[in-house]
Amino acid sequence: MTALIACETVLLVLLVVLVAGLLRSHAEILRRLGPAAAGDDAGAAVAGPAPGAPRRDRGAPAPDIAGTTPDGGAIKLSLGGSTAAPMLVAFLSSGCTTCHRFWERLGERELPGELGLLVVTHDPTRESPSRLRALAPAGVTVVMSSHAYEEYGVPGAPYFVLVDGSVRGEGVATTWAALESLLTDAIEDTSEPAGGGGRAERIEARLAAAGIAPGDPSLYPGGSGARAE
Amino acid sequence: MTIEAHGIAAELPHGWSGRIFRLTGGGATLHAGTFAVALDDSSFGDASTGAIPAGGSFLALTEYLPGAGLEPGVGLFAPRRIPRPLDPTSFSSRKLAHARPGQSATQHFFTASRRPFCLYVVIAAAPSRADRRPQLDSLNRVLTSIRIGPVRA
Repeated sequence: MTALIACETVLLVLLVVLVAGLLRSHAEILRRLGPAAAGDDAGAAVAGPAPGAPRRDRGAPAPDIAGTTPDGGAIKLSLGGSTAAPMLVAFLSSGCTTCHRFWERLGERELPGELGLLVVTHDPTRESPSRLRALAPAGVTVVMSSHAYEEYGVPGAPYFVLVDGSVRGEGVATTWAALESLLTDAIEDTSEPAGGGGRAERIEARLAAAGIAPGDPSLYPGGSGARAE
Repeated sequence: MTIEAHGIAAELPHGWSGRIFRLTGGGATLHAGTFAVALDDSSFGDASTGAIPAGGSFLALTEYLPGAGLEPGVGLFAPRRIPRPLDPTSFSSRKLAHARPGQSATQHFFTASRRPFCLYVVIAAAPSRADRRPQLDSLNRVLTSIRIGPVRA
């Protein structure tokens, strides 16, 4: 009987060690995938800087982007000038699973607002040029620049920055729909006066169409109705 | 900031953009300009030259591949260097690959490191005559910085 209990105890300890090891390896995998992968299925879009992104002076010129290309070329793009065309800078990697849905559809999806597209990855020391050549669709320019990751304070791939002389919007998107929503908001915000009054009016109009008036209790799920003035 | 690839290097001042690339089956090409140059373009920058702002400049340095009668250092490609400084009187609207209002161009063929090249420079009319000199000075600085070496095997 004692031997049986001892055997079961040893087995239990082994199981605990095995489960702990598995949990640890999964945690490491999630950590390496980055924060974006956690919301992979949700298609989350984060308007505005993601956690860890640098504080930027509003209207400050966008940093230049310079680096090599997977086919052995070189690029320097000055994006901070008044003559620079609006551009979506997509920070991607060849390794992250979330990035793959963007790599697959980069060449076939049209961006709103006649935006240019530039994909930025890390340097060749951290990325394989041949793998990027295989991933990048024809006509899509890829620049390998870890320096650009630092300059734009990219917390992890995928990360998107809308540049129009200065940084107009940035954030994480894990699906094309989320990216398009992010871009549409950023473009509308930049075409409106400071304060985003037009956007607020659109939201109010949508709420009104759904029968939700200002002060409606459903707007304050944590409270009992309209906020006390 | 220096960009370097395919045996070509150029120092691009603040505000300039540029890229060095090689089209399939072609030689190396450098595009540089005072604005964000097009990322998908032909050798002589049809897309980029269509986007030059007033007072802006663009240059394309395109390598030709020897063969079929083209010999480095011979005939059209006999000159051994890029002419510097650029002669302002060499610019003409008739030298434009694509005629566009307010633009003028110059071109020059030469051979460096046994590689035949064509330099094609396009400028868009500056808002005032006073702006013309800094426009050419800036171009000359970039042209002076260009280094061409032999192609690596």
